[in-house]
Amino acid sequence: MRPHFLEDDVNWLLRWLYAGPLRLPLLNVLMLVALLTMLGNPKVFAFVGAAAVLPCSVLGFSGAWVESRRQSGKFPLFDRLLIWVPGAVALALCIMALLLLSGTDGQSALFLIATAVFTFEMVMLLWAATAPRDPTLLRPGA
Amino acid sequence: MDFPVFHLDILGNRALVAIIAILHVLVNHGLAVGLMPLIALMEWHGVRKNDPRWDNLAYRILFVAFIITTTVGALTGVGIWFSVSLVNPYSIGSLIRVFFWAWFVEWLVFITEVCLILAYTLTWKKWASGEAKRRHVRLGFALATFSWITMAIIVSILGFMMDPGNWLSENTLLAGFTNPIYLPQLAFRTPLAAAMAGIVALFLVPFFVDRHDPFRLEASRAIALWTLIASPFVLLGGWWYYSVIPGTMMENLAVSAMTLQFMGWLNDFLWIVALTVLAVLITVQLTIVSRRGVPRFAYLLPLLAVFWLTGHFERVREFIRKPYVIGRYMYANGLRVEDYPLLRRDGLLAYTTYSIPLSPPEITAMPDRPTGTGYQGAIERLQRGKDVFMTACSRCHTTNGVNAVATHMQRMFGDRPWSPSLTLDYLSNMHNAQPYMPPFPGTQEELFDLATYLELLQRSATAVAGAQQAGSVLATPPGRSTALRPLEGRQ
Repeated sequence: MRPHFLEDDVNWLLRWLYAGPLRLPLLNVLMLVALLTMLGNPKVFAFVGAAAVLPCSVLGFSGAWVESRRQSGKFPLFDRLLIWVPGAVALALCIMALLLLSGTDGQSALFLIATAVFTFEMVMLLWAATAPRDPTLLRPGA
Repeated sequence: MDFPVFHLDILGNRALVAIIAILHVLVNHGLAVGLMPLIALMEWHGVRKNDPRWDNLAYRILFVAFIITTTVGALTGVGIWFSVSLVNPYSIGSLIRVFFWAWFVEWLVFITEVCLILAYTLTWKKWASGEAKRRHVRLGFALATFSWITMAIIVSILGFMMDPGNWLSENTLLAGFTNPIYLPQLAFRTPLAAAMAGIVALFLVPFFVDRHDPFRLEASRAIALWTLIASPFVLLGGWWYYSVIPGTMMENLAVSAMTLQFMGWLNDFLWIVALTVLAVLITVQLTIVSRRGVPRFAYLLPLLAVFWLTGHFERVREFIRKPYVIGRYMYANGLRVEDYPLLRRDGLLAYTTYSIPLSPPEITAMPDRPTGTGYQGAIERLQRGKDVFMTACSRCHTTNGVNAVATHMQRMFGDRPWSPSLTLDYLSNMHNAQPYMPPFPGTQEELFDLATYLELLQRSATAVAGAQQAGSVLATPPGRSTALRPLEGRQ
C-alpha cells in the first residue's frame, strides 16, 4: 500500500499557499532574501534584488496600464489611484532599500533594516503587480 | 526691558510656550489642515457613489475634529499669543511690526475658517440631498482651502524666524514673507498634515464602523491610500526643508535633539525618525492589501509615533535657530543684535525699566555677608546681578528647574566655589564655546554682577519668582538716569 502522508501534506501546503493572495509571493520573496542574505555580499544582493524588482515592476505597470485603458471612462478616481499608487510607492521603497543595502557592510543594523524593508516592499510590489488582474484583490469585501 | 519680567523658574518659559504651541500644531495639522480635505473628499466620494455610508462616516469624523479644533485648537491658538507675549514680548512685537498685514489677513482667513467649520458641521444634516448637498461639498472644500491658507501664512512667519533672508537689508513685508525657508517648510508641512490626518482617520474608523461591516475595509483602504500618497511627499518636502537650513543652525541640530547631555543621541533620533516613517508606510500598505482589515491597535503605534515626531520636530525647529529668536536680528534673550554696541557701552541695566527685588532666601544665601556699608553695597551688587540674570538669561534658563543654570554650572565647575574669579572667563566667552548661546550683552561690571548672583545658586535651590508672583519695582540704576535723561526732560 502506497503511503499518502507526504502527498497529503504537500497538497495541504499547496492549498494553504494558494488560499491567500500574498502567501505564495511572500514565500518566494522570503526564499530569495534568505539566499541573498546567506551570500553575505550586499552588492550582489542589490544587483540580484534589482533584477527581481525589474520584471515585477514591468508586470505591475503593464497590468495597471491595461486595466486603466480597459476601464477608461467608467473608472473612478479612487480605483485608478488604487492600482497605480501602492505599486509606485512599493517600487520606490524597494529601490531605496536596495540603495541602502549596497552601501552597507552586511553586518550592520542598517543592512538588517534595509533587508526587512526590501522583503516587505517586494511582497507589496508583487501584490500591486497581481492586483490589476485579480478583482478580488482590489475589492475584497465586495 | 520695557516690561516686568514674567518667569517660570521650575517649568521654564520655553517649556510653557512649547507645550501650548506643540499641542496647537498637532491639532492644527492632524485635525484641521490635513483632515478637512480628507473629510470633504469622503463626502464627495459618497455623493458620487450615492453611498450614504461614506457620508455617515465623514460626518462622525468631522464631529470629532469639530469638537477638538474648536476647544483645544482654539484655546491653544489664543494661548500661543498669551504665552509668547509674556515670555518674549520683544520678539512678538518685532514680528507684529514686520508681518502686520500678513497677520491681519491671517486673522480674516481664520475667522472665515471658524465660520466655515461651524456652517459645514451644522448644515450637514440639513443640506442632505440634491443641489444643497453639492453646495455642502463645496463648503467642505472651501473649509479645507481656508485651513491650509492659515497655515501657509503662519509658516512664512516661522520661516522668517529661522532665516529672515533679504528682509535684513530690504525691511519689506514681501522680503520677509518670501524668506528662504518659507516654501520648503510649507512643502514639508502640507503633506505631513495630510499624512497625520490619514493616520488619525484610520484610527477613528474602527470606532464608527462595525468590524463585520465590509465598508470598514473599504473606508480604511481609501484613507490608507490618501496617507500613502502623502507619505512620499513628506520625505521629499522634509529633504528640501533640511537642505535649506543654514549651516550654523545645523551645528545646533545635535544639541537640539534632546539636551546638552544627549549630543550623541542625534544618531539614535534619526533612526527613530526613519523607523517611524517606515511604521506609517507599512501600516497603511498593510491596510491596502489586507482582506480582513488591520486591527485597531495597529494604528496606535503610527499615530503616537507621528504625534511624537511632529512635536519633536517643532522642538528642534525652535532650538536650532539659537542664539537667535529671529535669525541674525534678535537674540533669544529678546535683545536686538544692532542694540548690542549700545548696551555694551551704556550697560544693560541702563535700559532696564523694572526690577524684581531679591527674596529673603537669596539674601540669606549670600556667600560672604559684610557688615555696615559693605553690606548695603553687596546687596546692591546682588540685586544688579539678579536684574541682569532676569533680563539676559531668564528667557531660556531657570535657576534650578528645567534647563537650569545651576545644573550647567555644576557640570562645568563641580563642587568648587562658583566664585566670579572661577566663572567670569566662561561667562564672557560662552558664546564661543556654545554657539547656540548669545554673547553677553552688558558691561564688564554687569558681567561681574551676574557672576556674583550666580554664585548664590550653589547655596540656594529656592525657585526665583517672576514679576507675576513677586511683583516688580521701577529700576533706578545710575546709568539709566543718564541714558534716559533727554527723554524724561521732554515729559
